[in-house]
Amino acid sequence: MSPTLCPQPETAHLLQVPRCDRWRILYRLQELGLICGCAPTEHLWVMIRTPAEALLVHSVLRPFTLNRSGLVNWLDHCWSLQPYDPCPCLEP
Amino acid sequence: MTTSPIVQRTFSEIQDNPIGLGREVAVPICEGLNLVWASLQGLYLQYLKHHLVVAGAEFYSVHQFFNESLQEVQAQAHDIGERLNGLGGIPASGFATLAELCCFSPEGDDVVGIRAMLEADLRAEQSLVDLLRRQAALAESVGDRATRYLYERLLLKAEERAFHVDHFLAEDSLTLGLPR
Repeated sequence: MSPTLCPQPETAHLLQVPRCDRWRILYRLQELGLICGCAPTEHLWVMIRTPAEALLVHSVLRPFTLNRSGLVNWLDHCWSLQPYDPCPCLEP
Repeated sequence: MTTSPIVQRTFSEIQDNPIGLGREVAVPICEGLNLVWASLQGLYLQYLKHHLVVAGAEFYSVHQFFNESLQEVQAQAHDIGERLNGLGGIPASGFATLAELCCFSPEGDDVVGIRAMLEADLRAEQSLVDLLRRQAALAESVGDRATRYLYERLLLKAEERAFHVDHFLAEDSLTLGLPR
């Protein structure tokens, strides 16, 4: 059976996404190596086991759930972020 | 005594197709085709109602436009239904399912003015255009080139109808004294 159509595990998270976009979201999640699937006329589900996987799901959903102005605001916000320094205390 | 007919296939069941598209392609494509099918049915009914109830000084030209639009939308729904059936899906026919799948909220049952009718039609066409673009992208991504081609043909026509509806709504007139 195709992983796309396999049954939903009990511990999977159900994602509320626009119905017309759920398959494209599924394929992107699969490309990122997440365990996920859709059943005909039902929801999209995904296994989220680590914070990194939660972040991946969040970043995949964002372009599908924000409108254009929301995406522009988000991009502007990203441009204004300071570079991340994991160990600021080690600076001379 | 009446007996229930034997169900040969349930609505969610996708049967094999003769053109070599596997279930991993046919299932998402058929779901998208049913979204477009239901949206075209909703749009057809809305244009038909507007064609029947429109009245006023601009009656004839708008009445004719609604008629042309409903015929075009009906032909498009037919093409989508043929493709959906060919790929192994079932075109939705229950009103509750059609309402759930339709990409816009159809106008209510009351009669409104011509401008409000056209504004409702423009919103519906805009939703349909958005849906067609998304479904064309999906069809492209799974390698179903014929469905993508079908969607893009529909998209061109839907955008043309949206232009025309928008032109009807333009605030311009040859009649002196009316707003420019």
